[in-house]
Amino acid sequence: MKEKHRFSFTMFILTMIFFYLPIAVLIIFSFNEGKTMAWSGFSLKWYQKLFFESEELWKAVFNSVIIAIFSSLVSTAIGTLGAIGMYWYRFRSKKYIQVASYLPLIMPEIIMGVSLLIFFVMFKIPLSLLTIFIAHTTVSIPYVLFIVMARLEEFDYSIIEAAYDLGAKEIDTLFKVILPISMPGIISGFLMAVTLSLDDFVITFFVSGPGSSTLPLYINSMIRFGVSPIINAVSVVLIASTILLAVSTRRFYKYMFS
Amino acid sequence: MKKNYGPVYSLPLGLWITIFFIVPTCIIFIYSFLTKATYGGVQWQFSLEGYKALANTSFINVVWITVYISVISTFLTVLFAIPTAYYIARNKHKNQLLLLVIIPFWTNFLIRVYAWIAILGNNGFVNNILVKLGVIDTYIQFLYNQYAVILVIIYTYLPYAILPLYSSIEKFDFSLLEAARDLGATKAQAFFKVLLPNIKGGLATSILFTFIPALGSYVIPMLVGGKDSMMLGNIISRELTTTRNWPLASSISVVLTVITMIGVLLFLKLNKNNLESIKKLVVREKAGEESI
Amino acid sequence: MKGSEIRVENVTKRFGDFVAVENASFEIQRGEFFSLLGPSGCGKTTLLRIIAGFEDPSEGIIYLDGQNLIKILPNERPVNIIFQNYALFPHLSVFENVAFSLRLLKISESEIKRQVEKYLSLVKLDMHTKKYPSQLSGGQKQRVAIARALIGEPKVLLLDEPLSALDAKLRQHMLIELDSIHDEVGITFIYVTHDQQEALSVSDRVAIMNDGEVLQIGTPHQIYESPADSFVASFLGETNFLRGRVNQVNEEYAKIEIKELGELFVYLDKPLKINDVVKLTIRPEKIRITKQMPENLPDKFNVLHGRVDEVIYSGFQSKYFVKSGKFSFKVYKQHVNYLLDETPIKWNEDVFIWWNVDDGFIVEVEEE
Repeated sequence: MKEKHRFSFTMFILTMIFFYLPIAVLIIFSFNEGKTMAWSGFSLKWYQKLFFESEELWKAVFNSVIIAIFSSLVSTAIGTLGAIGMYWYRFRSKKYIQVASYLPLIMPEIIMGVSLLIFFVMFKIPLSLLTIFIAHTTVSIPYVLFIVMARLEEFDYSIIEAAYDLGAKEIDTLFKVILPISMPGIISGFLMAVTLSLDDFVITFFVSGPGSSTLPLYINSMIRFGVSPIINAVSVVLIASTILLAVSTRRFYKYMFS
Repeated sequence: MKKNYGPVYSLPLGLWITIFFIVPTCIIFIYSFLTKATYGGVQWQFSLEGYKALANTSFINVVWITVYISVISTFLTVLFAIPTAYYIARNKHKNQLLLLVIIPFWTNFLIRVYAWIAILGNNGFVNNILVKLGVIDTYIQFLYNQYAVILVIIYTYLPYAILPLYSSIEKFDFSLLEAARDLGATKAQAFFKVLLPNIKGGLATSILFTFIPALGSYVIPMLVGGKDSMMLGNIISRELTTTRNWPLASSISVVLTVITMIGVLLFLKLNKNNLESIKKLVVREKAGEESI
Repeated sequence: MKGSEIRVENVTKRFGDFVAVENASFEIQRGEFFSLLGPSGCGKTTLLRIIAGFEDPSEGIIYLDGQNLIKILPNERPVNIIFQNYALFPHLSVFENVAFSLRLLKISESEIKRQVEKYLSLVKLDMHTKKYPSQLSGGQKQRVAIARALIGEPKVLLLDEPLSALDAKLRQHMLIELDSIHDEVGITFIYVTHDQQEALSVSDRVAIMNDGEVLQIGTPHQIYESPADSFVASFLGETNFLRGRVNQVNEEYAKIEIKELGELFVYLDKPLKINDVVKLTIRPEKIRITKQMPENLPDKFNVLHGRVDEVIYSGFQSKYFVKSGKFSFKVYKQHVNYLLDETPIKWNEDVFIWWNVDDGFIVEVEEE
């Protein structure tokens, strides 16, 4: 069995090198003096350019954040209510809604992008931040739905019955029992929706209009111009902030729910 | 007396998914049977042109390349994922190691692709070093071919493949391997006859999680692929935005959807699990942070 | 007496093809401690859930003090339930769990505090008001559930296997407390359980259910001493069954001929005819076991000769399996004073087993 471990250890190390080498190269060259991928000395000038001379980029960041917040709020609300309805009740259209909400998870992104684009054009909805918001909300809903459902699975329906039994009306039960107990699921669903929205490129690419650039769209346009040290700097800032966000979320989680 | 609030709670969900997912998907299907208009859009006239145009060798070649690239990258991804997941599952510090797998996940998708352009591009890191060392005079074109596409697909989806394998290997009772060896099995026999059958579910899932998104690849071949690596996603985009043949873009989308669904159904058949299991795994996957 | 009377009238509940409750009809008196007893899946919990309002009956009506309950939503029924898993709200403290129903009624804070404290002291839990359910032991959770259900002053308290999640010792203890809480608040209790000991020890009356049907209703004494059929007899404690043919009937007793055993007398509580095939039962603790043939017995005793097949000693009593003819009898002997008893009966010894004719009775009659 020992040798087996040695083999898997080697593979693990190779995988880690594979994972982190590109990221390490990006980080190192974001501090490069020169414009190319040839090292010519340490410099912070690309960060300076990124933070003080990239107005367009920050506009895209702003758009991304706005869309992420609104689409996450809406998808969290719809997904949470849907999870409550689908998990605890039976009704006629349930099977349909169930299948319809699974499908976006396995549908190739490009198809969702293309179909939404055609849909918006057909109904003469101008491509804008609004259409991106709709697209992101649609993508996030199934995730929120299933994350909240996973949370509800930890509870027995009897606690809802207990609330009714003690005199609570449906609205009391929703606000005083169901939502509070699902809160960890709701929050992770929301964070997931934020992540999906900030990260999405393919669907956004199809449904965005003039003036509605998001950060991934902006990064894409930069990449197409070739290697640029500013992208390296953007990458480092993005990686650092996602890790920071992830770690603080975990802290927050541990603090709140255990 | 019981009241059923299920429909009330599920109404917004049902409406939203119907309007913004089911209807657009149906529209694509309908569009694929219409006549193209001159500057994009369609004329409402039945036509099979969208499908007839698919019956030529160049399209069939694209389908072949799409499936070929997806199969090869899936195979290689899983080949790397199994030992890596195995090592993590048997390690004392598995939570920390798992975090190492998940961090690349948290990195923006485009950035992950871009990193390889920065490394292997014509002016990239590797070429610069090789020139500096005097190994070569002028750059070598590493990118813009099938190999680059396969490499970046593996890079992108390897974490997706490791996680389900990890969770099924972690549940595996390792004393069974010892029992098998005790009963005279060789290491290879123990692996193929004892470990593999017991982690079938995780294996099938990691294949699915690599194969399905690989089929739908668009960005990766667009950024690091060349003429030999045009995939279905790329010609859908071309027909939609450049050539502006919407019925054709729609019919190709239908083909891609059908191929994807065949993949999913195959998975369901192999895995004998229902949709439920995919749903749970997809969510757990994406919510990587919760799996630790 | 406080509390309400409940009348269950022809209640049937079907889930698809499965009949969970079949045509149940009975009345529960004001302030009564009434138990629904039966094996799991017998429909007792479904019946309780129908009374609580969580299930609608397929047919039939339930009346509470003459008022039809069926059309009333669960949150408006003057009936509260204690769930098997307690169903405490995990996000609320003990105090807030108990205060839940009062908070819905916009009652002043001071009154809520007074009431919650009153009910928490009733269940002897005044110490832990700030804790959360996850920090409580099973018994404490149970008490919170009771206080939470009682604080709304329901007319009927429903208890769904409330002790099944507790360990054996705690169960005994909580049972006694439930009984004294019942005495204190005086409302009607409907208690669902599969444990015959629980049901027998606290109930005023017990309804025995099996396969959705109510088989017998009566005081614990009635259902134990004269079970309506062989299911009731075997479900309530241990018993011995014998099948035989009636060959003689007089005013009080019947003589039953049992193949390969002999003739036994049995108390005549049902009309019997000669040649009826009957099933008779005798509880193991009613049978006495001795090494010597009992002397000077009055006529009203059955005596059999047998051999000890197995002895299981369990402290306060021993269980003997005695082979007589081709029958194996279970016989329980209490060790009232073990050392002063005759020399212990051992395996493979010849013994006599005997019982008063009045203690055996007929549970089933198959007419010829």
